[in-house]
Amino acid sequence: MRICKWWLLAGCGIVILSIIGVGVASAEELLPLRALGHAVHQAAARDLEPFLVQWRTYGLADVRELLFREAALPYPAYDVGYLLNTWASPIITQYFEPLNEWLERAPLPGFPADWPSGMIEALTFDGKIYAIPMRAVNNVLHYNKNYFEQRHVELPTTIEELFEAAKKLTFIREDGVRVYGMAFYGMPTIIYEVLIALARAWGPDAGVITPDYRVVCNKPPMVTVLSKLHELYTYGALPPDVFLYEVSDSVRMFQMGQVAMVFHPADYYRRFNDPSASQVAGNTGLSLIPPAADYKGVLPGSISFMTFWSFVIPKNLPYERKELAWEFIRRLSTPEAQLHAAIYNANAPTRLSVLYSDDFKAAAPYAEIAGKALSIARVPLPAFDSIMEAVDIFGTYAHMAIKGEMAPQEAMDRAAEELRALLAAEGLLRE
Amino acid sequence: MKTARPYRHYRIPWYLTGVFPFTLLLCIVLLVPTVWTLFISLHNWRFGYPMRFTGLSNYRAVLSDPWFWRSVRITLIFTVSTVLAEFALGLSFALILLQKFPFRKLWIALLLSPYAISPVVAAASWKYLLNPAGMVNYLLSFLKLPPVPWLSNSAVALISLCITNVWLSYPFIMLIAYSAISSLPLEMFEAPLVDGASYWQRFRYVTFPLISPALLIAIVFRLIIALRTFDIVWLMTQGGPVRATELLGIQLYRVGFRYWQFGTGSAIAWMIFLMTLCIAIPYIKLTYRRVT
Repeated sequence: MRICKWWLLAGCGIVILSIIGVGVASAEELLPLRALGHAVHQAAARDLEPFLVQWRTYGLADVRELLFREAALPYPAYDVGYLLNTWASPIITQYFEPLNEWLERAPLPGFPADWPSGMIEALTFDGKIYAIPMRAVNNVLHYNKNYFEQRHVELPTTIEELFEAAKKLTFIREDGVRVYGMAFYGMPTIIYEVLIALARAWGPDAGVITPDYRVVCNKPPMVTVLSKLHELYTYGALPPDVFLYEVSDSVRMFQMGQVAMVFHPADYYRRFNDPSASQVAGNTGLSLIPPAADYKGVLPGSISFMTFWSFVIPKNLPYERKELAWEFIRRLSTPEAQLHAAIYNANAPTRLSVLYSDDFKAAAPYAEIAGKALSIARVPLPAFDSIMEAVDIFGTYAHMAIKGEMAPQEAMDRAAEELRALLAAEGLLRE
Repeated sequence: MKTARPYRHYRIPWYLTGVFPFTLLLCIVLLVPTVWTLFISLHNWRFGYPMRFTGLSNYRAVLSDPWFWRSVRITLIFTVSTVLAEFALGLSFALILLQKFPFRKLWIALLLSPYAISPVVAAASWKYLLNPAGMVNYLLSFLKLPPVPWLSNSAVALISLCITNVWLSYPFIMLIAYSAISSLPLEMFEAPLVDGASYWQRFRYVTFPLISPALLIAIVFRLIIALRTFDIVWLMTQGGPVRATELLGIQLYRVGFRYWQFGTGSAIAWMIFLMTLCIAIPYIKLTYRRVT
């Protein structure tokens, strides 16, 4: 049988168009609400979902990529997304719905007074707010009480004492397991959080880049932190592979009793004291990261970093989907919902009334510390377009300093030079 | 004498109708992204901002970036060393498996098994094995040797990744070599045997020259694939520590998908493509010369 090529081409075209048509038609069948975020968000929304929700959860990097990439589509594949504050640069105004009109039409009770003003400001551009904060995260010190007692070490009241304590808490247990004095999530893409939390023991202006875009990573606080960590690394008080640690690795090491001190959000107290997951359940404590000796009595603790998640709605959604999304946000932002999420799924609420409520304090042993830490916390870095590049630059040079491949001051001077170039390219640099 | 048929009388045989749609799909899937990436590489395009034509500026920026050349050096070291090791190991195992010994078929299955494991699973497993408190250091302790920082030391991390990649990929060359040697006619070895050639002489003067075309295919394939390695490196070290294992694939991912600099990322992608062509073109020329 011989077929004319024009008929052949026509037949292929019809087949391909049919396949595409079926795909488009099936895309119209949607579940009531599509949410895109991290697994903790799905956990926090459990038992609170006002209607059926189709969840897609990923790691941080993937959430960021999908959140923005899909929001850019003519028809986004999600209705409600979860935005981390470090991603909230002016670019969000292009992709996410300004919420002022929605707040007027169907207000959020207590908004904005019941939310920290710093959070609202970070999400407001040209007088329009683009996201509603729903979950706050800030690092505190978690420690193994048993090891402190065994090694006769007092709970450090200054950052200098904390570094010394890390050395004393490095030992080999009777069962032959090595215990490290300190650990943290040391991957170059995330180590900046811990280092900023430690550097801010010297005040809120320490860190990497200040909120007004001054580069300060080569100033004494950060250089001192890196020098101390290099000392601890050489001493053996840090796990040798700490530079490869994700958050889960640091958590696991603490749960297995192989580390005496870690830095994690206050609500991690639950998982550290969960007997089904932790070998140190019942033996952990938490406190604020202590301030530097010069600031003892002046600061209650290190001005630890705070990051927070917020609800966003893609701008390109049809009106009905935006209405549905806003209803979801309203339902999950009530004081009752935030309290429920905080108690049962271990996250710090963003409503101040819930954070300082007696119900929260009664239900969460870490509530007091979480409240104190949040009251003084600040965002780790200001949001700008090249933030990921800045994080990588700082992380790389921080690794060099801690491993001893470069002197801390030299490493931070080089990092500062590259960071200044980045900020200058965006017209943000302040000196 | 045959004359060319007029164009209007051309007919496609019916049995090609089944292949054509998929060929078309393959062309779309391969060609469209390639051309689009080239187009993007000539523009300054960052997520959230409009595209702006800048010509070859992305390529100039990439070529003048010392981190890029560092990645090129690391990639070449990784590629050459892993392929050489795979070649040596694969060929050796193939020669051994062609001998008769007890449980030979079981050994064939065991030696082929790494090829059946997904790179993600392999990377996760090796990451635990090479942990400071992992099995490898535990075994070293029995030999009274100190623990090795397999993934946290800048010098050793690349070696660890090479070991993982060799473990995953040597079965490919082993399979090719085994098949090639198995298919050689026994008559080729009768004359050398009669002449009293040793095993090594038979291998060097008879076996190896005959299987070298097959081995060349295997090596070229492995070089091209090793050049683009991303998965095991990202899962085990993410290019660290201190970017000591940042292969070109890792840098491409970082620039394109983490920094959202699509123009620069596309330029890096085309640099990798051109490096791959440098390996593939000599092979294609050699093969074409042999065929014609």
